Amino acid sequence: MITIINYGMGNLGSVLNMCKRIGAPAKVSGDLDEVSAATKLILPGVGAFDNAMKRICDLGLYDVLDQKARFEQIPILGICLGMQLLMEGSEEGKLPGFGWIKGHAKLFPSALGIKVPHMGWNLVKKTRPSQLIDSLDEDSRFYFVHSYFVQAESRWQQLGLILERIWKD
Amino acid sequence: MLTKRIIPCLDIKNGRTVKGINFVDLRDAGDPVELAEAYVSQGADELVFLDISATLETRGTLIDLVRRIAEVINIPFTVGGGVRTVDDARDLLTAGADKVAVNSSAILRPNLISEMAAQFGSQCVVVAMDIRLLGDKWMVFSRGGTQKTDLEARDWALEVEQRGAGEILLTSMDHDGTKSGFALDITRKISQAASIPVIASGGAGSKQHFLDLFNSDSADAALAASIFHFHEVAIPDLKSMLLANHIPVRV
Repeated sequence: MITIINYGMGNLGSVLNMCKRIGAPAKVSGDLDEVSAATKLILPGVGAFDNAMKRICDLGLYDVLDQKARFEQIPILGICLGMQLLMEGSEEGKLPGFGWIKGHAKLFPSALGIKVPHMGWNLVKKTRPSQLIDSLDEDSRFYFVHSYFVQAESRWQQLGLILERIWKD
Repeated sequence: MLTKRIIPCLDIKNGRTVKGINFVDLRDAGDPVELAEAYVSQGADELVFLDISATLETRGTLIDLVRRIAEVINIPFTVGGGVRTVDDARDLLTAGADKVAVNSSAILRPNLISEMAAQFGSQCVVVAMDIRLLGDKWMVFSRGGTQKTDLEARDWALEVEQRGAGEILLTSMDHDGTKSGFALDITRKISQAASIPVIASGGAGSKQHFLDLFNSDSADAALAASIFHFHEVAIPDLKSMLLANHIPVRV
């Protein structure tokens, strides 16, 4: 059972529907005991970075999630803002993130000359093998809708890159 | 490279899909859930759902319909119509919408855009603008196109961007339902002035119209309703045609 964390910020219906579609049993919960007992977590999120961290702290979820990640090391998938929260911080806010992954979320620089939010279907280039993405075709398209991107300190922690004219290889 | 997006639009009134000409003379276009499912299988890039009756009485039914559509689709889903508050937007997101569109309420109270952006992020906030050419000025209309405002299209576009909108859905009322092609000039003008993506809407009547839109680099996405609902243009054919003409699309 996957627990989709409800902290009041996220397109929860959309994430739950997708789990259903691929046949992954999932439930939405913001309950501390249920999240503590979870064996797999999805951290969704749409919204602003500080707002999200603040809500997570206010709801008492910070310590619970930190315990699940750092000590129990259960699988956690961060989606969208949820992924940005896994980092040490973001250019969008002042509050620290969970810091489970070294690096920050950064705003797309205007020098790239792309429209921001980066919105639409784009390609992802695999940068190292991982069971998460190995079975995907190179020409699979993913829907992006974001103004910030995650830059991990170590390339090793990064599974893929958005393939646009954005990043010239 | 980011692909140009093809977006079918479901205008909903009393639980049915409808489509009019210049925003009036509505006719029935079928069951929204069935249409949504069909568009996903045909390769639509996104789906837009606008509740054009949007009265308080029908709110509950609307949420239920959003939920039922969200369950059968796996592409991004924008919902609008009658959204007045952050709570209205949250209800739609909880029901399965990915983005929320605002129109009249944002004109009445522009701060709604900033409030939604602060709460859900800019990427979630679509501002729909209905515009008409009056004399030599493109003006913004509110309340489903029934009320003229003092806002000029380009000014309003820049203001909504500055207030935190993540995308503009630009509908030319003059072109809506006429199948005479998109309003290329004003769409390009706004698209070039704004740094957020612009969806062109109103006037799609043939595949060529989409090609004209993208060839002139006037918009990031194209929205259409009747030509898809009434099977005049099939999305797979449209995409093959665009691809053959070197427009990047997702196939």
